Amino acid sequence: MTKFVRLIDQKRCMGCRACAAACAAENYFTPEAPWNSMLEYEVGDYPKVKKIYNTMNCMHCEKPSCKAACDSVGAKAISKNQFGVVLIDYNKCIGCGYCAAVCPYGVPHLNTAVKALYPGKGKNGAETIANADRHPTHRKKAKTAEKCTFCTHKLEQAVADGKTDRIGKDQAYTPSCDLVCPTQARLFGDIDDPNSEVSKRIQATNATQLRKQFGTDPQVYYVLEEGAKS
Amino acid sequence: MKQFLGFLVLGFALAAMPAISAAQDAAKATVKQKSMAQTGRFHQLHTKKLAMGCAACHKSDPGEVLLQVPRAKMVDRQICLDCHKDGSQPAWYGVVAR
Repeated sequence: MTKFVRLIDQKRCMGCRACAAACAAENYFTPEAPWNSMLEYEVGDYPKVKKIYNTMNCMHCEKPSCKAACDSVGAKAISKNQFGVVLIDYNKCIGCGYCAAVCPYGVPHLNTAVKALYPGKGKNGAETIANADRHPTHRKKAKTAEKCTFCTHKLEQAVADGKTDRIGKDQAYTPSCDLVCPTQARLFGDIDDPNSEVSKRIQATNATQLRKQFGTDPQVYYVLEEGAKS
Repeated sequence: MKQFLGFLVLGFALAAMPAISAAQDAAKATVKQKSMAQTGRFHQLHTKKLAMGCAACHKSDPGEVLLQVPRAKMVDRQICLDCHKDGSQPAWYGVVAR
C-alpha cells in the first residue's frame, strides 16, 4: 500500500510563507478560501518567549470528520482516494458549510463568491484560464467548500506517467508547497515505505499529529517546537 | 387515435408539473435548511432543540490557536467532540472513511 503523508518541522520553519504563496500560485487561489495558511503565536514567559510558526493545510485524515458531516447531510461530496487524499467534489457540494464547522483544524473554507485577486482590474494570470481547461479541483465555484488536495493533480500525473515512485522526489509529482520551502521544513512521501525520507524523519524526530484527541488520525505530522500546541 | 394519445400525454405532463415543481422546491428548502446560517438546521437544532446558548460555542476567547477560521467565528471543536464521538449519532469524530 501507498499512503502519502507530509512532515512539517516547526523547528526549521521561519514563517516565510513561501509554502502558502506556492500553493496560491499552483491552486488558483481565491481570497475567501485559502488552502494553506500560516498560524503564528507566542509561547513562554518574558524574557523566555518564542514565536511558533504553524503552517496549516488539510490534514487528509484517515477518519475525516468533514466527510462524516458531509455524508450525514446526504451530500456525499467528500471522498478519500486510494492514496489517502481527501477530496471535495464541487459538483456535489451543496455549500452547507458543515465540513468547515466540524473540522478540528478549521481547514475547509466555504467560498461564498469566487472573488477576483485584483478587484476592478480584470482577470489576472491564472484567472484567465477557463474552467474547462483546469483540473476539476481547480474549477472554483461560488457557495462551495474548498481545501488543500495534496496537489492531487500532480499525484494523478504521476500515476498517469507510471512514476508513483517519484512522488515526493520530482518537481512534477510533488505538492508545490513542499518543493519551495527554503529551510526544508516540509517533506512529502510514502509513510508505508520504511526507506522513504519522510518515514525516516518521522521516526527520527518523534513527529506527531495535531489534536489527536479528535481521533481523526491526520496524515500530516509535525515536529513540534518546544512549547508549541499539539 | 394519435391525437387522443397526444392529448393524453400532454394531460399527464401538465398534471405532473406542480408535483415536479413541489419536489424541486422541497429539495431547495432542504439545501437551504442545511446551512450554517443562524436560521439553518445546524443552529436551530443546537439552540432550540438542545437549548444551547450562543456562548456555549462562541466564546470571546476560544483558547485554541490551531484553527484557520477567522477569529470572530472561532468555535473550538472540543465542544463538538463531547457529543459527536464515534458511537454517537451523528458521529463526526473517529469515523473511518468508507
